[in-house]
Amino acid sequence: MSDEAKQRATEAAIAGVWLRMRPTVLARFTAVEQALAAARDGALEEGLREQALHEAHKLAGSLGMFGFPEGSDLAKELEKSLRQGLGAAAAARFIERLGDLKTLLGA
Amino acid sequence: MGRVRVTTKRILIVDDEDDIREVAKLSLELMGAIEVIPASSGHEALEKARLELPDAILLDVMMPDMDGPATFHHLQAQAETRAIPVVLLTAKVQSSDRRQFADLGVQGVIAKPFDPMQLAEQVCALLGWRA
Repeated sequence: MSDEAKQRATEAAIAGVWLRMRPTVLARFTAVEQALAAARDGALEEGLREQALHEAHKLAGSLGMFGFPEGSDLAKELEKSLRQGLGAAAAARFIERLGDLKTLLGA
Repeated sequence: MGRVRVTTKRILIVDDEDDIREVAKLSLELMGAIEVIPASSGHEALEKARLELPDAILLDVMMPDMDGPATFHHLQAQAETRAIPVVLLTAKVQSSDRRQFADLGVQGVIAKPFDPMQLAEQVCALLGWRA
């Protein structure tokens, strides 16, 4: 098989995995969105923050691998903010950007 | 006419995330013609490494229960698996993290998220395999 044919076969196979795994990846947004809403309202608890941190980390890895570098960058930025502390205004901005990302992903 | 013996390399992929394990498997099999043995935890990796004796191990750093560095230490402690080269897969790519991983004695580090089109080439380069 030529290099080009191998690449096409790999891209097609990965696109199939993305279609199958998309609901699982999108489900990771739930905890992140809950944490952001709580941070915006000044009520983010430690358990939810840790869960959102975990999911943001997973999103960064998955989205980059499936060809959504902007989504991966946003997830990394969010992970960093959740680690360092997230104010109400920053949380509101993340909620908006996350909405745009979900539209891009066809959620 | 002499027969050409083709030896396929075998690699154990260890990652707790299904999608990452599956894409890495496809990428190595299709782009690198490398046979893949999947494992979803450090414990499973130790067992499969001992039973299958792969040519190398691609090991995620951040996993629940037993993380990548702990799994690596266990692999080093087992006589059968001590010599198997290990490449870490991690989102921690700052120079201090890389130095810490290099000090462990691993063969190399690949950053997450990885590019599925480049993964086989990166793995082969780190392990000195012909891509």
